[in-house]
Amino acid sequence: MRSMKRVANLFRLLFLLALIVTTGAGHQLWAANQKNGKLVPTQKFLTDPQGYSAAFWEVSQIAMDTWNKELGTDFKRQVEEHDQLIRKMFEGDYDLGILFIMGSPVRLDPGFLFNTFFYATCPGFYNRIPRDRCPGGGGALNFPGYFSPEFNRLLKAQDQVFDYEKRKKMTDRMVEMVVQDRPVLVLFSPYMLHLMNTKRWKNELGMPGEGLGSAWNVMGIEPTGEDKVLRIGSTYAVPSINPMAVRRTQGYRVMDLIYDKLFRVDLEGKAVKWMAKDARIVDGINGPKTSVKIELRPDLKFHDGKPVTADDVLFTIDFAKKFKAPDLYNYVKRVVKTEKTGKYSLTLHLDSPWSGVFHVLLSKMYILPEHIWSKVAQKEKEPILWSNPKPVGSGPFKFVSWDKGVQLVLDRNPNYFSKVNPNRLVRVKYESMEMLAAAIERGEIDIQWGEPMVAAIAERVARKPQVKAVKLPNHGFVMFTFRCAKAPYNDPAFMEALEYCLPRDLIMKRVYPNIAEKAVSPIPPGNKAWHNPGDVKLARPFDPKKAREVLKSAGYTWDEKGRLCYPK
Amino acid sequence: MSTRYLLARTGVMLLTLAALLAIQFFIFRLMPGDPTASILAGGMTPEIQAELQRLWGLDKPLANQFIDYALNLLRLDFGISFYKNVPVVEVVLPRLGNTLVFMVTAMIWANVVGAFLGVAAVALRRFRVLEGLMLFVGSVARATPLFVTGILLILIFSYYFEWFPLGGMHKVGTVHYSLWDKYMSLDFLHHLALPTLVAGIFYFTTPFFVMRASMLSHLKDHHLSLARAKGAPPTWILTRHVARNALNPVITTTVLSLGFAVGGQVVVETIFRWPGLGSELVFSTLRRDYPVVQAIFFLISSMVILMNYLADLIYLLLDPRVRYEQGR
Amino acid sequence: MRIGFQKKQGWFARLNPWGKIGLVVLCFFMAVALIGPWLVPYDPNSSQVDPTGKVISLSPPSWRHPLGTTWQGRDVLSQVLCGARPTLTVGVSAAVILALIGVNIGLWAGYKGGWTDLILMRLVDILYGLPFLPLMVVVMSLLSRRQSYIILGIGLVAWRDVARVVRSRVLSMREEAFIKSARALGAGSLRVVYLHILPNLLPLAVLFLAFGLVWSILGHADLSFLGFGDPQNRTWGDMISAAWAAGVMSEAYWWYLSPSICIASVSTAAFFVARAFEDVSDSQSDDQAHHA
Repeated sequence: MRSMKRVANLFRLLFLLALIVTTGAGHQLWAANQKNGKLVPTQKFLTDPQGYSAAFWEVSQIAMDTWNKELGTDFKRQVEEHDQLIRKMFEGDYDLGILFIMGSPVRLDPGFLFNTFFYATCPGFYNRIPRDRCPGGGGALNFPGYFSPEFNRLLKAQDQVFDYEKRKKMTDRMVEMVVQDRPVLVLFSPYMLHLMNTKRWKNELGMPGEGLGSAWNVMGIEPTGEDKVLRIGSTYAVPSINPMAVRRTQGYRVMDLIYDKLFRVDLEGKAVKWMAKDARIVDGINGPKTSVKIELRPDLKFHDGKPVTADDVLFTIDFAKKFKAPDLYNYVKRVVKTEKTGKYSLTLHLDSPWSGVFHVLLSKMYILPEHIWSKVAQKEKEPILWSNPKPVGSGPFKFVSWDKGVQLVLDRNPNYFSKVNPNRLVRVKYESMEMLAAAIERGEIDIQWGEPMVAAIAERVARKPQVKAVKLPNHGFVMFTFRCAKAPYNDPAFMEALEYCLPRDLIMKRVYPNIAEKAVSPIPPGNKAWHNPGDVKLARPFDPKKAREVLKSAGYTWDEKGRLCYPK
Repeated sequence: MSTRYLLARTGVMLLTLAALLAIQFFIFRLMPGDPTASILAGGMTPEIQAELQRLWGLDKPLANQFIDYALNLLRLDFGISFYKNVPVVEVVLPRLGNTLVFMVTAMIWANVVGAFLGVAAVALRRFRVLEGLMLFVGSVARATPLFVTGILLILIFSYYFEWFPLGGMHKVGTVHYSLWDKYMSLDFLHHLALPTLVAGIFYFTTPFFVMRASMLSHLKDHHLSLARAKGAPPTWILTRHVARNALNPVITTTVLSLGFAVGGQVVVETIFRWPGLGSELVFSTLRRDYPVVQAIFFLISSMVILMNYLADLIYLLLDPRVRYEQGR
Repeated sequence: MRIGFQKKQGWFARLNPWGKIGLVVLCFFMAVALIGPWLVPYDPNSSQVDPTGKVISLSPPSWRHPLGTTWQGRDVLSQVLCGARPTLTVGVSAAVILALIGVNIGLWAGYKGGWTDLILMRLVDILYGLPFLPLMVVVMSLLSRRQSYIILGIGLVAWRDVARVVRSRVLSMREEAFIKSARALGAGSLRVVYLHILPNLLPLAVLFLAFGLVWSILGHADLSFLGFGDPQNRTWGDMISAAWAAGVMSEAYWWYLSPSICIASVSTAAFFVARAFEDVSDSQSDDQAHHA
């Protein structure tokens, strides 16, 4: 009896509570719509999980907190595992996000950089846009979906200019356009801070943008004693070992060792002849300076002993064109005709003069063994998807074993034409920076690859006698990317306000103290040859008052709770 | 225990497995996110993405996919891992081995120690302080999350004292050529020590409490009064009579916990970088590598259900009333 | 045999001393959960700077920061005080849900028997076959990382043990004289189950509330540590996860130690309470057995 009354009372109480809550919520909604325009809705800020990068978590947190506090916006974090984050960006299914664009050698060339990250042939572009909606396509990594016909015109023009000064004028203008249009907000270039243990190896060769991760270092680092196994640790996994499907810089690092290229970018950032004994730009069938004559070294051999000839180079070009190899296709399709002129010599005919042909195409294209891949081309419908379980290339190292996501083992190629010091390479993936640093401290790992080490850990570990922190400039950068076809990011006033309210110096001081260089454009100071020093003048300093003024004069208002509302 | 009952019980077990298989399959396929994301690069055309989906059988309607999957399962074909591009069994079997070696070691010593301590707690219950201490330690060990214990032990024994390695299963760069090499080396045991200790600290508590409770309830049994009347010493009564009867529930809990042990070690495997089934499950889920995830999930579920089934049978076998009945 | 539930008076006194301590500790943490966020000396999310403007990063416990600071200069004490609320919210809510579901399912499976029992127990078996942590990882990937989903996830899965034990209790109670007499007097199933059987199971129900609290706190902590917690409601597990991700565990033990002690204390306290109620419930069932 008593219990039934209690239950009934409980229900009455619950009903009352529900009534109060719903009327309260209703009132809020009503009040908000009265005097101001529509509320700027919650914006989802796409980030990796904290374990992937604690530093980027903090960078985005500081930015979100500052924006929310000063501008009355409502930025909330949306955590996605890295591959899924990239997928969302490719599909244009995001508001804004944070990305680290790593400084790979090919990205030193402004033509390549702009083409990859800012080129599109239609508004609202996203990477996975259906072919019929945008037949011209766009850059492979144009995350914001930036579309500017003027930009595209300059991009095409600078490609054909061989004179450095003239070309730089054009790229400078393109930098200005990106800084003013704000499809992305660049924050800084972290120095490539890599740790190494000097017990077994010394005289490392640091590469700008790659730190200790370049092939030069792997080939040229010197052993201190008898042990010639080089142990490499990284928090990034190797995504694939198919040279035609390579994605992300971590994949390139490994491909650079197993496969070889006609040119390589040296430690100064210049493209130098490698597999090519000689290469020159000549006048050709499509006009002046539209052909490239190449002479291969005659002493090159694949890992299975067969010699490398012009046939392999020609086959690779045809293969990349026919099967639309993702990173190469936009570039290799400019080779309209190929011509074999000898066992080791060939000529490539381009569609138009191309100043970056050595740096962009020939330093990037891995030469495939024709006797293996021609069979693959016949058997597989999409050879790009072939897993390439036992890669055979002509590079300084031979494939031994790969436990994906765990450990990769390579052995020295005894027939390589250039000196290779280590006998064996072991690349191990670590789940966290701390574990990797501790492994280096203990001597279990010799050198670090991948993302720069966290400053706090590096400071502590570098105090140990045998540990060294190698700090190198970087032309890579950390940026926020915005879906520029979506409101409110399509409003220049809003974007300008966001930049006024972005505390770049504070973020650098807090998260990357002394290990980052301020950068405001995609060609940061680390890229000495192509950096536009005038870009800083066009970027906005941190001034929240100015930010609010910009919004006000554009018609934005704030409701009684301080939340930002669109102009009416 | 009739054969009819046995058959019915087995049938129910198989049905449950089948239901589980279906549920798991559909949960995973309903997850948002695209398994092709971890393979596709930026410049890849929609045609390539479509081809990849066709290769992986993702373009067919869900029901067809399930039927294909179930049929393959009957032939013990778990498919190919999306991420690693090798057969799933190649991925899962080594991981299973690593987890089993780790967990079986941990469970054996945890259960033995736990049961033993349970008997000790009852034998020494005159010393209230000691008993209280044992109960306190047992409770704390049970209620503290595994990662708290794990991190504490790593900090103390690996970072500070440097007695044990920082994780992993072997020293970096070791290549082993046989199972014997892999598991029977000093290096391996050195790496095995801490994870086993951490898991053991958590898992000894249940047998401890169960054994103690079981013994305490059996102490009141009537058939002991005869032994006491004959003047037998208390310890003798304790070990020969009470403990043996009290073992019953402990055995069933041990068998049950073995089932959970295989899948539940995600946290310990993450902290110690132990390449086991639990951590592989989490990573594969994040990568949307359906074939691997489904295989592991199914493996774990089967173990749990199997252990439940075995526990039921053992309980019936060991129940003295049943035994007595069968003896007649 | 008593009809109706036991009188509340005296239940506290019947708990063993550990249970009493546990209850006090739990109440203390509930108080912290309620008023903690108002007592914080600093904003738990903002970085503290010293007079020169430099961030007080990774400072050991001091007078200004009794529990030290994190990598980004955030005060650990403030974070700990604020971490109680989400931990206990999730813990208590999930415990209530799983106790409600488990007790009800156990009641009806045990009372009705037959097909109801068979189907419900198969459901329990299926749930046993879904390993908790991997399932939660899937669920958090399916939906976004929000606190309500964590509560539902734990609550909807962890009731399996509850149902089993309640069912076996109900099975033994079904044959009791007082139940039979109530049915003979014409009481319907609902009345019998909720007015006669349930009141006698109350200690058992509270017992599972307490165990449920332990499971929820542990499960939630594991999830947060692996990085699947709700970033808007940071708990102690999230703090430890951040320390692990920043990779400064070996330097800044204070960042890891205080939240660890808190989690361990709360769940140990809940465990003591649970075991105390287990004793009460066992002695009650002993009574029942003797009176039968």
